[in-house]
Amino acid sequence: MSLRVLNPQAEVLNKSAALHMNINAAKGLQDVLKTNLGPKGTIKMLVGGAGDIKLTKDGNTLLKEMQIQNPTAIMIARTAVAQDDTSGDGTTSTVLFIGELMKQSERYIDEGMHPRVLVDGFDIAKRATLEFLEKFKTPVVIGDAPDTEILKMVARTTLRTKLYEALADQLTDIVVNGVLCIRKPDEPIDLFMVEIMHMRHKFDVDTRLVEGLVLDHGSRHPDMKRRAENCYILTCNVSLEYDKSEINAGFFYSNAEQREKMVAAERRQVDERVCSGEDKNFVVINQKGIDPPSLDLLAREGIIALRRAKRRNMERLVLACGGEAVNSVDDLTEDCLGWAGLVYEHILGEEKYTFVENVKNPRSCTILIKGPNDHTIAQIKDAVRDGLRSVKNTIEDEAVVLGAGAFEVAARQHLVNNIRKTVQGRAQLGVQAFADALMVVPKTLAENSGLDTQNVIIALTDEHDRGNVVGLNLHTEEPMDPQMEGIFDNYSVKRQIINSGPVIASQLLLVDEVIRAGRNMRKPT
Amino acid sequence: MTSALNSFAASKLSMNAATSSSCSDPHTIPNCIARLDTIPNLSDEVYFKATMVLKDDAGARAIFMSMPEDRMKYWEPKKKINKNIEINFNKQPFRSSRCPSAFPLSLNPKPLPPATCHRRLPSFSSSPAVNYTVPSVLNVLLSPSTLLPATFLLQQKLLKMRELVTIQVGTFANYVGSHFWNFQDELLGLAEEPNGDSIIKNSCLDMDVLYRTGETQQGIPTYSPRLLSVGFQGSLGCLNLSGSLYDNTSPFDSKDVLTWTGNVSRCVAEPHKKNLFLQSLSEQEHERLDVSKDDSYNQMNGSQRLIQDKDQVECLENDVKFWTDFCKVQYHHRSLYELNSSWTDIQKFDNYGIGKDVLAGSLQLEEMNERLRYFVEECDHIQGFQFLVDDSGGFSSVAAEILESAADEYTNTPVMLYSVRDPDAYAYAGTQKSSVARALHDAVSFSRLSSFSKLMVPVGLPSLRSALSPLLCVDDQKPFHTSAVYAASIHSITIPFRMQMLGPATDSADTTGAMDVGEIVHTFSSQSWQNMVTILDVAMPPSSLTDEVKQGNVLRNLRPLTPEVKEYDEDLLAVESLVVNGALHSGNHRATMSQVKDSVFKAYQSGTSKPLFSHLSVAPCPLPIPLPFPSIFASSIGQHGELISNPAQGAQSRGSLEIESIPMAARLRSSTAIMPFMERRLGSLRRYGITRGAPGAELLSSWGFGKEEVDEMGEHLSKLLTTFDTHSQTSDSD
Ligand SMILES: Nc1ncnc2c1ncn2[C@@H]1O[C@H](COP(=O)(O)OP(=O)(O)OP(=O)(O)O)[C@@H](O)[C@H]1O
Ligand SMILES: [Mg+2]
Repeated sequence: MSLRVLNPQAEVLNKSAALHMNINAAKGLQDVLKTNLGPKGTIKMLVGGAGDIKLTKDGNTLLKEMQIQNPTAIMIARTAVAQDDTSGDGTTSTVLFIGELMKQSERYIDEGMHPRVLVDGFDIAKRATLEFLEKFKTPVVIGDAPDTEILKMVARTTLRTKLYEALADQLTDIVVNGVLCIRKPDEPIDLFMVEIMHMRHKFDVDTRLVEGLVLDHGSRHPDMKRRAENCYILTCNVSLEYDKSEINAGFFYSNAEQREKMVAAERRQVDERVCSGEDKNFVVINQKGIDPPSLDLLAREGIIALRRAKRRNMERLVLACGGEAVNSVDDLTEDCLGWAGLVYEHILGEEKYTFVENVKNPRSCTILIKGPNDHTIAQIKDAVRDGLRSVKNTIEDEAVVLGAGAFEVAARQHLVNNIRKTVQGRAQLGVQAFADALMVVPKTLAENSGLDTQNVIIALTDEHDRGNVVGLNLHTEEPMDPQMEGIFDNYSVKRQIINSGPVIASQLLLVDEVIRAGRNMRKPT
Repeated sequence: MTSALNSFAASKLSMNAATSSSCSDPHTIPNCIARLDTIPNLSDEVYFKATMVLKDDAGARAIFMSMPEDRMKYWEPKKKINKNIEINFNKQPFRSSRCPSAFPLSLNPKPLPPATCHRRLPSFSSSPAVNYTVPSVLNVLLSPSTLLPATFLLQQKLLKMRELVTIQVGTFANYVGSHFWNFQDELLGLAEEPNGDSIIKNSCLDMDVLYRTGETQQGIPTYSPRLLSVGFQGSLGCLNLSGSLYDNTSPFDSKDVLTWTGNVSRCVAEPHKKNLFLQSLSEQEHERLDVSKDDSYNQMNGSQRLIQDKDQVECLENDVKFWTDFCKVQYHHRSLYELNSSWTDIQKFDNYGIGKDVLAGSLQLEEMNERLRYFVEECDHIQGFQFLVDDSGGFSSVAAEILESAADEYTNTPVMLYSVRDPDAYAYAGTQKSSVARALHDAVSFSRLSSFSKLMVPVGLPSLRSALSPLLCVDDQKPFHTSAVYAASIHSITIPFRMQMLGPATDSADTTGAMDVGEIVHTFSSQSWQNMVTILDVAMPPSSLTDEVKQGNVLRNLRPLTPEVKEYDEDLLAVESLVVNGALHSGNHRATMSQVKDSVFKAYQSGTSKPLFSHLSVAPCPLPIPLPFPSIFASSIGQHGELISNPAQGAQSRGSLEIESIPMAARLRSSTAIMPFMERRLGSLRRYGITRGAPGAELLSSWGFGKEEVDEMGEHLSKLLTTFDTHSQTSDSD
């Protein structure tokens, strides 16, 4: 898909032409993305030159799939993608907001107003809006046992913008439980500790939360058990293969000793097991390689062994099963071993999966997605990522913001009714432009639902001015209370949109600086 | 393909045999029975090696071998191998119901002499490994703890196959790779042809080194390159990202959107049109799948077919836009990776910094690492990574990032890296500023890539038209052409890595000089100096051994493909590794291995400057020329790469329609001739990046390199060069 809004030769254009080019580019990008917004948005099916398909409802993914050449559009896209990198959501809104800021400005500029004045107005409006956001947000008490109801509402709101309702609702519990599983009090949430694993399965569309870990590889020995219960898990990073650095000195087993030690240590445990009459099994999960002779030794001892585990899985395994990851087998004690109630292998064609399940007190988990083809899987995966981020954000923000346009309507009225009059001179118009631009979110939501935008905006502002907090009911065109409907957005996402939108818009308006900025934009700061 | 599946089946068979153990010993490792007779087509050599490697453990445990009666001749007592080992066989025949005939055997190793050192002695050896590797195979067996079940020994030692994982990064690297895999595909195809050339049928090249066996979810076996290819989004042309091997995607319909019940909008990119070659490829594929239809291609008469082939060849000559346009290989669905979010002009993707930016802050590096891990996890004994990197632009840094994490994750797995570039990369820089940027890019990318690899081979001349032999007519404007020459040379260099090795020191009757990547790295690093940047030379084709003008001197045709090297190199301390495959003796008669060996030996003896050390690998199999190979041969080259004495006057250049195969000679050379290449990069870095007020310092910092890092790169480069200093000193004093 290629988007060539305008001639990329920005440098050669005169100032006013360049300014209009920027405005058009921003509007062009907005046009491409606006149908994406909200639960009534359109999913985009991108068919590539070779007939390959990508499906996306996500602004972020869509932007990355586009071959954008226009420098202004690239600058906006980078900002929007940076928005997603930091907060995980709000890409589409960012693009729309920037586009709308430019559109609103255009009117005034065409009437002869200097962009500088508008930009001054933006500055004031932005600060006021951020202050207003602090008052408007809904605090969430997190503490030791967070209110899962509110977490679920946030997650559901996000997921329903990416997946159809029933599917979104099924995933809601999964993502909330996933985040709660890995959360440690008073520590930042590391979402990498939720593994997202997928399986291509012809007929199934199904997602489930595995308390434990699913690895995308299996044992490589024909005699190894495919299923074991009551398993001790050794997580290690020890090469169990020929030492290649020594290869020219022959094929000497420089670490045969290591292998022996490990087998011996495991065997000790096996012996203890025999003595105590318990029925325990042993599983070795190694980050380094294990060659067939070593696999054979382990298989003979009844030990299941997996090689070349992901680096991140070393951490996840320990969090899921307990024990510790060891770098040598010299001082292997029982404390190093983790435990899982069930370990089994699942084979689909050449793909093998190993499930490590039924663990005690897991601090890491896996979301397993099954789908019949790559684009379905990718679509669900993106949605799951968004859902996880929204829960994490809520916990870390300790706040949420009422969605469905409620914030935007309220903020606009605040700017128009309270702030504008405090501003001297024509910068007022900048505040007005900013306030009107905020309305792009409810407007577009209405448009995507096939509603009459004018009616909707009037109804919303009226209801607001009656002193109610109102959002847009996408089904009826009526104002509604998002609180009642459980529609919440992330505070940090909103905050960032308000922050970054006017920055970019101002750069684009002050066109002399645009071109320089365009070059420096490679690294989002 | 079949051979791979056979050996796969055989290994499964023999594993079953291993579990049929009888009595136990103190180590609880059961006795082993090596069921050699269950593995088809073992050479005599294998049987012989098996007798060497399997031993009993001081009587505590017996290992029995079963083999067909006619192989008994290898059980001679007191046979001497390499003077170091004596094998005593108990002559008592042992009979068991399970095995046709089996012997217990014992082996008495003698203490080993220290490894022979080649230092300073001008020498010539066909296999440097001989002197120290054989005995140490036995080291493995000395400790009871490492006594392994016999079947595993058979698989792992005797039929030892060591996997190579290939990584291609960047546009031109994928061009080279596309040709490279076409050669492999051609070899595989020819091997299955009922009345094909026997030399190719028995190529002695183990394809499993480069290929992996797999299986689709429908249970259909697959055989595909063990490859990760990284390119630009949109650079795959008509090829579907996930390939066609695992995915028979039916045409897609909006109602197949399973995740969304709302509106669907389609954005359809203009479809790439398949060229004639790709069209005929997919027709053949359909016919293969759909047996009910007539095989129209085979039913065509010869002349119709020729016309069709001719059109295909012509369309490739005129119009190759993507590397996939001439690719006949089916790739695994994890092999092709597209770099996203590169909202950059391909033209502007020309420096180290941009590549870094594209990766920054995204999960793409992690995704690539995951793909790589998938292929590595499957390997039982990975011998190394083979990187092809288009180092002319941003892909350098993408490759460097992959290399860095690979170095971290697969610490002991050696990396061999070819940096390849299109003649286009040498186009006039335009401004002073961009020529500084380019010089810095070259320096930085050379420094980074070399610091993460064990052996680096810079490849890519400003012009191939003038630099190579008059027997080649390469159009420098066409990456389709230039990449073919590089791919052919790299193919030859990889031959020693996949010669079927029976054991380290054995040469079969046809091949000699098997090596793995670790050994070749060692060959260069342990000799006269530790230089890891080598020159690639090629003779394509080399003259026949009895050629009068060249006096049969294979070496004389070799021309460097590495840029900026000294032309006349009098380095007495050079180290080389030469591969000759499919050499011709006279006319179109193939030379035997010993003829090649003799000839090369003579050439070295009569030559004015001899290298200090040379390793020779010889294989009988020439380079097969697949249909989608460019027409780059002079009209004086014949069907098998021989020189025709009276070619048709004014004839056009020849290609795959006229030529079936050509002999090749390729060489890696570590010598002072590489110094200008390295000095230039060090010079650029110092001049533009390190000195006070250097004009490129700001640029480097915009690429994310602080002053310290730049200094470090400078130090790294000068360290690479100092190996030559110490060397010239010692050679002076000699
Ligand atoms: N049920 C709902 N009714 C009305 N508005 C909703 C509802 N659910 C979500 N929204 C609104 O939809 C907007 C979010 O839409 P969406 O997630 O498609 O875009 P985004 O978050 O800006 O970008 P992206 O998710 O693509 O990065 C928010 O303004 C949110 O308040
Ligand atoms: Mg969203």
